[in-house]
Amino acid sequence: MSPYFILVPILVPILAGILLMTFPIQDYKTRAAAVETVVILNTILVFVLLLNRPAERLYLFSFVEGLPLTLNIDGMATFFGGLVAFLWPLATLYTFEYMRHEERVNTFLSFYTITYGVTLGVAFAGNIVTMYLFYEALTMVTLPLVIHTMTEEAQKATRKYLNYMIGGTAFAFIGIVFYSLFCTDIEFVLGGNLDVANLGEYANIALLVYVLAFFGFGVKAAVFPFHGWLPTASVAPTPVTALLHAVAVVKSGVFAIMRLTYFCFGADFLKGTWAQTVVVIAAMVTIVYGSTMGVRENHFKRRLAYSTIANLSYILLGVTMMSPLGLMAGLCHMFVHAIMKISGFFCAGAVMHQTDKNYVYELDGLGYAMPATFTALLISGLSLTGIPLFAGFVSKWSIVQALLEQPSMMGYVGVFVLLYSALMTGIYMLSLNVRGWFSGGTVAREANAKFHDPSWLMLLPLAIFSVITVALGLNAQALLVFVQSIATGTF
Amino acid sequence: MTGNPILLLLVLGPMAAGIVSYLIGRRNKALRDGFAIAVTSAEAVVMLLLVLMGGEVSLSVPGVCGMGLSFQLDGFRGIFATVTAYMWMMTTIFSREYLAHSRNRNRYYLFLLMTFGATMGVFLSDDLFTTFVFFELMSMASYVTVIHDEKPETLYAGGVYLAVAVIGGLVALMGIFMLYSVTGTLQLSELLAACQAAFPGNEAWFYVLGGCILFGFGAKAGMYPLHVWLPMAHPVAPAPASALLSGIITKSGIFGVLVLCTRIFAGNAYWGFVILLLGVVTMLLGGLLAIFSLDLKRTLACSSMSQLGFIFVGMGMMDLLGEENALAVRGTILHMFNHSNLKLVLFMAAGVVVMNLHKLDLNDIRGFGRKKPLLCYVFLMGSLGIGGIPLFNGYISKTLIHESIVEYIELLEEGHSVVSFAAANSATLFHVIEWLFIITGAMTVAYMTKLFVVLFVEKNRDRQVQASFEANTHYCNKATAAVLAVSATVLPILGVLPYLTLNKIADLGQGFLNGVSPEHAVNYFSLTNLKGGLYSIVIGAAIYLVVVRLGMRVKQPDRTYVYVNRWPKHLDLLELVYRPLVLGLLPTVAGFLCRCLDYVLDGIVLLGRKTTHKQLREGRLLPKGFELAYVVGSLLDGGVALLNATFCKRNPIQADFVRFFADQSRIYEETKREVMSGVSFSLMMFGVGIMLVVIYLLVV
Amino acid sequence: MIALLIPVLMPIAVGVLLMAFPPRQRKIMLAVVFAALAIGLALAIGVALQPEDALRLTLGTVAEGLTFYLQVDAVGKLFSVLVAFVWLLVGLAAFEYMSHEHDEPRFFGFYLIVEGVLAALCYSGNLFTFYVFFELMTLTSVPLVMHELTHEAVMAGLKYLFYSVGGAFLSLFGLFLFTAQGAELTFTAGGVLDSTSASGVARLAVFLMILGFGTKAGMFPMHGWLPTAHPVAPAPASAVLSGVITKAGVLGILRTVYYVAGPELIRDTWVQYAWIGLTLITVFMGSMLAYRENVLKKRLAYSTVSQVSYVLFGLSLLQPVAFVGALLHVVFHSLVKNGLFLSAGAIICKTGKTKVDELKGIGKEMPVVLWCFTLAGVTLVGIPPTSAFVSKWYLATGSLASGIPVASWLGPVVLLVSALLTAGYLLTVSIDAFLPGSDYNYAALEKHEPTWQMLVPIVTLTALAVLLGVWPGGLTSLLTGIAGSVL
Repeated sequence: MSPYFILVPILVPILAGILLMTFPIQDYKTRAAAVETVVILNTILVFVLLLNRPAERLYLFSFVEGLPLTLNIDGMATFFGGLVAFLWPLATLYTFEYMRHEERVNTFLSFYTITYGVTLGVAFAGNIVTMYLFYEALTMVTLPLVIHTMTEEAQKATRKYLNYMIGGTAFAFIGIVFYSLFCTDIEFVLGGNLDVANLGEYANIALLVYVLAFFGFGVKAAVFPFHGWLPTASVAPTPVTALLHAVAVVKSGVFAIMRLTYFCFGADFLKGTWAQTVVVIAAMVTIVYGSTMGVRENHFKRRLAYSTIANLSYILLGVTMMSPLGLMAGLCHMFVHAIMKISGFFCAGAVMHQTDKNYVYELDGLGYAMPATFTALLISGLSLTGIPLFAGFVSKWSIVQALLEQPSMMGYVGVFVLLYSALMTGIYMLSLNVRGWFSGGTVAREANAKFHDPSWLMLLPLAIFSVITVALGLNAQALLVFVQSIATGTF
Repeated sequence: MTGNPILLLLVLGPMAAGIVSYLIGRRNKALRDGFAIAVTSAEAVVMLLLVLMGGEVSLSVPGVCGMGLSFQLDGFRGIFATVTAYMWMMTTIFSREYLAHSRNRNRYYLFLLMTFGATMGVFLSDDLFTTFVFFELMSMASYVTVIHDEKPETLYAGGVYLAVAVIGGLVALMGIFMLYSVTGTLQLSELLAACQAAFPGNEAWFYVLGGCILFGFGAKAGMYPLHVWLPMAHPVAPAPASALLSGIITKSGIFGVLVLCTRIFAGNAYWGFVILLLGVVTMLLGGLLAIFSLDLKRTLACSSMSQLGFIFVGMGMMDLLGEENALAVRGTILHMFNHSNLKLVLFMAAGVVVMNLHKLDLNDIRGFGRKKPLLCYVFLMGSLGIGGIPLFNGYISKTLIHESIVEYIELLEEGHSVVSFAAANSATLFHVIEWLFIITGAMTVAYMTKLFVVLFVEKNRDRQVQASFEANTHYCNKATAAVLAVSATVLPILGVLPYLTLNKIADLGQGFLNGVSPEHAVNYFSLTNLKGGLYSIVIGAAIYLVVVRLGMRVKQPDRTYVYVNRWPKHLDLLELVYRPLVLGLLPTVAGFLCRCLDYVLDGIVLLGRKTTHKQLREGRLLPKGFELAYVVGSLLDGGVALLNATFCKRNPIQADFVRFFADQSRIYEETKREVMSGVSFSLMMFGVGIMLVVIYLLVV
Repeated sequence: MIALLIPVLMPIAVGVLLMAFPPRQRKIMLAVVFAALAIGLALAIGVALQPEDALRLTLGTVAEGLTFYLQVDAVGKLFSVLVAFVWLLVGLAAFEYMSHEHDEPRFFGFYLIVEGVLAALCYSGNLFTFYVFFELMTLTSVPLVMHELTHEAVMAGLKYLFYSVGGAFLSLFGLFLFTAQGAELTFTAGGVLDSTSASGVARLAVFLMILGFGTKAGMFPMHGWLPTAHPVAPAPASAVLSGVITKAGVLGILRTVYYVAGPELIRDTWVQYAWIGLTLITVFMGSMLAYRENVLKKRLAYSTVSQVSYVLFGLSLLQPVAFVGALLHVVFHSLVKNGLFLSAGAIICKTGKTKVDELKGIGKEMPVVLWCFTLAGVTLVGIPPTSAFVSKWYLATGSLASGIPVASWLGPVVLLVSALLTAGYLLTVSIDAFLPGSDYNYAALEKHEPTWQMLVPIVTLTALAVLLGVWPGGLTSLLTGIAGSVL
């Protein structure tokens, strides 16, 4: 298949989005059908592309002599692209039902579809410059989605979101500039192509730059000091928080860090250095902070946002172990977390949509009124906590394998941090279900009896995600083998 | 299950009979009484035949209760099993009339027979494990017979009895664990050799385990520090139960101590000396308490304690004398045997008094016995016996123990120092002990005469009561009268013909305590021994006249005498030391400690929930414009609330800082707006500006 | 062989069906539950009679190194038969107790599911499978604690859930560490890890696993949930919770120390001494707090904390005789404690009295129940002819023979002090019950005896507890065999 075909799945959603914005479709049904067909078509295109990958890279143009714009499908791209492509149609399906009573749905859906294209751009980027381009575009495109409700609170959240993102990408830019000066070839290659030989006295600078770039991309991956935007951004409508702030945006942050670490600077160069220690500590601190705040938070979606912060740092903890096993663990948790978290957010969305209750203490006795939603929430909660028989345990187990590969103090502390975070997740996720089914007694049950489960449009994605979570929990061999092949470059 | 199963029948038979009697009792009361008497008499007959037939009978039941039970019937154990059965028969007959019109008799007979089986088990046991199993069972079952009438003071005394029994049992169990861990066996036959072998290495270990086992069995035998339950339990228990309690159940405690003295610490002079000292103290304290007590059954209880002290002295001498302990061995066995019979008689006599008057205080029952020849005869036999008056059985065994002390003193004077450490060698100390022995004998005579005089000689203070006493001739039915008569006449027979009866019993029993018969037969009625008896009678009479007659009788205005309790009320070891320590101090201290431990993790979690994991309360957004006022105000309000809750709870401070600050900031805002908008303000600012310019020009 | 799955899946299936389609008449539901329990017991005994090597089953692998593997050995058989037997009896008693509670289908549904999970727990063949079913047991037993849906019950249930999940994650550290080191964690008597090259972290991991599984067994630092969960749970639930589910914690520690790490790994190390110290603290603390507690079920809960630590003390000595004593006490304690809790349940169910000082003279009203309560109490104190005396005898002699410097004699002393306190908090209840004093008006006495459904389990449990004490031969020889293979 010719390399130009890589460009198609990126451009199709962008064009469709622009088209929808210029010629808005008023009727709810036709609009939904149109958007859904475009998205499904694009997903099929992506999978066709991924199945028979073009061998060489697609060179588009280059801004200036050393900064070419290339697209390439390697193991990582397949993984992330495949994940996004799989989730997007389901999310859009969910969005129609959720946005039925909102206004300005056309602009929302158009930007929602454009984001799809841009995220695929981040996935298929061949080198760090291209990735940076799509990375910036992603911020810009998601802005209108966060500000969609136009409330005063949403405006404050968007302003904060924008400040964090621009600040972050500035740091990342330093990394890119440094890297482009000292690399043998700017393209992504597993094991990195920083010509370490003639770095000479700049080695320390290289480490410093890596740390800065890590925190730069880390803003999107919600690493501790720069995580502020994620909880406040949860005021946006659920499809946004679910898909973007649990899957697309934050995962592209983590994906960028993986590219930076394993494909630019190279894991061997960074292994054992002070940079690794700084980065691991940052990840650990975020895990502890995210889990603790999750317990403290009473707002349903903000609690899930903090849980996302913690889980993203699980992935980073795996990645920063600088070993193929670490990358494998990171990828595995990236996939499993995406599934679990999007299911969690959809449950939260369903509860808000049906009963517009935002706070956890309002959920008493709701389990009987909305059994399907709460069962999905139970499965995603158990999986997040890491109870065996659910996917969460497998990804947590693989991260721990990475941590304990060589017996080191950092590894053991890492495992304890993971266990503490697992306990905290248990507390804040399982208490949701205990509130749903048990607390409040018969009084709460009658009070909430009038509510009922959302329509099949919302329930279908939930059902699919729950089935995947349990299936992976029982036998995760397929996923692990696939991810292993990517991590060791044999894909 | 090897050996003759008759022993198991003897032990488990009464227990099964107990349950059967409980079931019979639900329908027909009389049949149940008859059944109980039948069982006990049958058992007594079987025991008597077994003993008379002689011959060793043994039985071992492996696997039961984890370690297996083993029984053995030889001379010593045969004697005391028979005495147990004989006493149970007598008391069951007596309790039929004694409890004629009281409640819960089914329960009483059930537990009476359970205790009977357990006591037989203790006396027939061949290893310490079996002894302990039945010892605990006996404690538990006898508790229920003691608290039969369930009055508040009975339950209180029963509680003390049970506490001492359970604590004693557990400490003894600890001793048995330690013994088993070091010797590997508990069989009485192998114990002597095993202990001799294991002793040299770990003396400290042995003395600790010896102490524990002594604590456990000594508690039941009324030894000095643990005697507190004895004077309390007897007055409240029904007479037959207290007869058994002080007659035979204390002897099971002695059985345990005997195993200690003859098996584990055979011939160990240190151990003998300790037992001797404890014996002397118990003896003296018992005598004193008996003299000063104004309660009929409490006097008899304290007298039991004193006689048990004699037995402890005998056991102490057994170890001190080492090989030549024949006299001490025979003295101990015979005194145990005599004391059981004596106490049976005395307690039944007291039971008759209580049965008629339901009172125990000497002033109330004074003069009851006049014109009651049978009761007088029975009580006289018992008093003379226990007083150690020649021609009665008490005298025989007391003389033997006294002789053993004298013999030990002669050994010391020959310079043949039996044991290494000084205290046991000083002849003077043993002279003192000998005199204390005689004085306690005298005290026994004193308090028995006190009782006899009160009951049978003095008249009651008011005429009508005395008349009614004397009119009451039918004070007990035929069966009780027969039982009283028979058990009373046994005593002089034993006393008069010691060579035919008591010596035979001593020969039979000494094998178990591996004592050997003395070279020359003891001449009980020799001048020196008679002199000992005479001394105790004379001193006893003196004590009675001085202490009881003068000390305890107070002349009332109407020229009659009333007995007054001179014993200081608070000088009671239980109330002074044990109860505050065991029920007060230890539980509160340990309880507080445990509550802190219990609260450790809960505390950490709560601390977390209050600080780091505190739930964010979204609802209360800060009021617009008054944020500072609100924050500072709520801080101060919190302080005030804390103060009100703690220090000034009585006059709490009324202050709401939040409203105060809010008003202040509002006023400040308004004044600021007015001032700023006014013309004068702008003029003022203009003035300030000019002044600054001038200063600048001057200075620069 | 696949038949091994039936005792696991049958109760779970019936439980789920019961909750999904609750039958209309109560009688049908009770019949179904009773049938399920009876079949469960029959299956457990059937499996127990099979020869050991026939009972192996590999279900599947979640990931490389994590396989579901069922394997039944002597310990598994003992525990599964105990679980099934107690479940049947307590279930029978629950029929009457739950008659005036609400949501019965949900209670009996979860009740059966927990039995299935426990059966799987006993049959699990490697540490991962054990851990999976250990977590599931926690999750499925929480609804039993929360059954009454009062705020207090929900908070107690949450505390139980989070303590147990926290404990499970502590033991997860060990599972992770050993799988990371590539050890194949199938249970083999005597342990899998080689104790010679064991590093400090491996010992720390074993200690954390002991603490983690110890949470369920109510060992000192993590015992907080037991006294909170019991007073609020319905009596059959708390009977099962403290009688059997604490034994799952004991089974966890047993498997970790004797079948994975191996006694040699922690013999005479700080792990063993710390473990002994913790158990002795718990033994004393449990009985002291029970002695001072006035709510009857909370008192029994503290007593469970203390008694289960007898077992852990026996296991911590790593000595054959103490090991036998420990397993004996597992059986005896679960019989006695279930008897006590059911009697407490009968008292609450019939007279509504929950406090101990309200129980004066109740022996006259409910003679059979209180006679069983007294016998069970006497057994727990360890008065000779009864069963706990035998296990206490083995524990003490094992401890004295173990030769550990201080613990060898301090252990029996603490056990006996705790026995004294047990007498303090159990016998006093019986004395008040049967001896209300002479001023008790027998006229106003009216019988409150529960129906046969409650009496039969209580009497059977107590009778077994006493008789097993008199003839412990069979059980002791079985356990000595296990001890021989392990130590």
